[in-house]
Amino acid sequence: MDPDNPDTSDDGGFLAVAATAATEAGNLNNSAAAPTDNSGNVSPTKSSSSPSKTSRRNRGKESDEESQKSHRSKKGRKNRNKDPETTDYDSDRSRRSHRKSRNDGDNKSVNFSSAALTTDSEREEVIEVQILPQDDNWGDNTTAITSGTSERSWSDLDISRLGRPIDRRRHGLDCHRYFGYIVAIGLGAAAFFSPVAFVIIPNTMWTPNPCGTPCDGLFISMAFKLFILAVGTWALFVRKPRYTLPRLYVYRLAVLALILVLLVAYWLFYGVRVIIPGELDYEGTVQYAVSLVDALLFVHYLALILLELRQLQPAYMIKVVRSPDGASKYYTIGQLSIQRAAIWILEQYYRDFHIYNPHLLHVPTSRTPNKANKYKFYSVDGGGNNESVTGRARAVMASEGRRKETGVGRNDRFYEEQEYDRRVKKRKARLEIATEDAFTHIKRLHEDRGASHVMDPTEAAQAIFPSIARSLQKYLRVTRQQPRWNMDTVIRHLATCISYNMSPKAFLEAFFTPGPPVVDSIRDTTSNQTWELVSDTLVSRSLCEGTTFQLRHREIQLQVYIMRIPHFKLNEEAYDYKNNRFTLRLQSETSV
Amino acid sequence: MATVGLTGGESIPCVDIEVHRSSTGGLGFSIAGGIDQDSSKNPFLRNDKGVFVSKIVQQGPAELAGLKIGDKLLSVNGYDLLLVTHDHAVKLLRKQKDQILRLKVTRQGMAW
Repeated sequence: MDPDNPDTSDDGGFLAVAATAATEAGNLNNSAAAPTDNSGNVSPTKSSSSPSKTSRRNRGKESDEESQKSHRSKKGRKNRNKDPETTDYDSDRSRRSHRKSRNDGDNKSVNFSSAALTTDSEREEVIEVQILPQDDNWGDNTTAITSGTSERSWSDLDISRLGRPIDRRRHGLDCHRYFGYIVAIGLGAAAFFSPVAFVIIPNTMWTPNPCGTPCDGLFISMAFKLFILAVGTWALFVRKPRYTLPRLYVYRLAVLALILVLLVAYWLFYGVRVIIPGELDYEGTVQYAVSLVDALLFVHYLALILLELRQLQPAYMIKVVRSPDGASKYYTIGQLSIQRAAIWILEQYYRDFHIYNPHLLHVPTSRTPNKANKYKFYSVDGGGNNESVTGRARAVMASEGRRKETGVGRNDRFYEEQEYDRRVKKRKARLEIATEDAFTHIKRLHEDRGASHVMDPTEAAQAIFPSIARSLQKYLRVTRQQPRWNMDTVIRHLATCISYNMSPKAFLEAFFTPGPPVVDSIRDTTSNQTWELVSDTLVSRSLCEGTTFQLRHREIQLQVYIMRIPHFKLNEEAYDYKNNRFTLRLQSETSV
Repeated sequence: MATVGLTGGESIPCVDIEVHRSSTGGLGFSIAGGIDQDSSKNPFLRNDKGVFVSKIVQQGPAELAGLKIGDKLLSVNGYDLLLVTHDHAVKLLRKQKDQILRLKVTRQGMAW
């Protein structure tokens, strides 16, 4: 109604609206219109001021970006891939275009807005997610993948490569791995079908003596033993390969060699004694075949002992220390070679350690980072205080100048960490409150009640997301987790929680406890995690106390120390249960 | 029995002693005994569960008032000490607002 022209500068807009409202308060005609004008003016001013608000937010973000950039440039990484993850947010290209000029080319900052679907909040939420460049370690650190990983992998390639240094190429990886696998399967099949062949061949090539009930018994026992062997092999050794080792896996090679020798010996004797003379004693042949099956079963037993059971008894205590942040854990481990111990340690690492957030190393950045460096010096005009002030000030300035950049104060780091903890707790509390409020808006639809707006979980998640988004974004930014979560993953997680009736705290658990490193590896696009094993002894030797080796993966280094478990000597002490009586004796003397 | 050698209804020979609390708040003696203590170790009167004076500070208020080692305290300022725990006896004796403690005391071989 009134041609109110709201001021488009930040706070002036509100003042102008308030001023116009005040001038019209006396006017009866406009008193009804003023509130509507107020509300009508609120949204345009808010929306026009929100870019500056977010620009202020963006400026705060830039200091984080700069610190992260400096952190990364210190490490001197090359091959920074800029993943174009901005294709999702087409709706916001106009906003991004005028903000791109502010960002550095190296870091990508993505802004997207979600339209408010709830009626109580009319603001547009602008959420910034920082996508850090992913380091593509395509050529950097790969281990030599040589042996196959099933129980019967043939590793003659390893023998030829023992002398060579670690191969750094990666494109031949799958060929080698599957070649060993195929050879192992071939050997296993040969071993399995040899007894069957022993039994069948006399029947095909010449007719031996018919053999009655003993042969039937032998056939049945052979069939069952073969079945047990097949099931045992399938249950224990047929599985998806979880790891590839850099060097020979000695026990596996030994078992395969044993199988090969066994087969060669049996076939040799079979050829000489049965095929060539055309042996007519069929029962003897069948017994020969059954003995081969027995031998194979015992080899299976030996393989089970060597490969699975021997390392279960604890023999050493190992301590694993992670390098950039100092997290450490202790484990007990059995008799293993160094490389197998490394694989075992990695399995425990992916489960037990806290996730490593490289940005948290530089966490205590106080809001006024220049507080310690600058010393505000005001000259006092006139009066006798001048000399004393300048004298004192000069002394303080000199001491400030003497201080180095890094040691800005003995207690500064302590105070900064306290401040950081307080900020995290504050934002966490606000996030919890916001989430609990948001979850009360969603009610499960029951059949008997008619509801206003029926939605499926994803839509419900999108409906309550804006009220959580701001505090969630602040919390993620404070704990430096925002690279891990973008809007889609958050909404998907929220939809899952809603559809399973989880409480707000269960939803928030994913942000408060980020989970072990397994979570990160799941999120990675490649399912391979390449770790480098650095050791001064040959890695196929068994563990020895007092030694140490290291596992490396990007910037994470795990140092492993091996220690001995003490020998426990248990003595029995006689317990006299008959003389188990007590009296109360109190004598005290107190001075008064 | 709390008191040895006596049945109920009999009277005990006792004497009234007034102890004046010193300026530092102490009375100048130590007590031992109580119903929660081991009465078989009582050096003054075996198996007696009463509160006894076990130590006297030289020239302290208790010595000046005439308290002796081995005295059995019967009451202080009207509070009974025949069937009290050790801590309760200490608490009664240490009450600071009483400047004068009127003790009823009995000792071995006291005559009527």
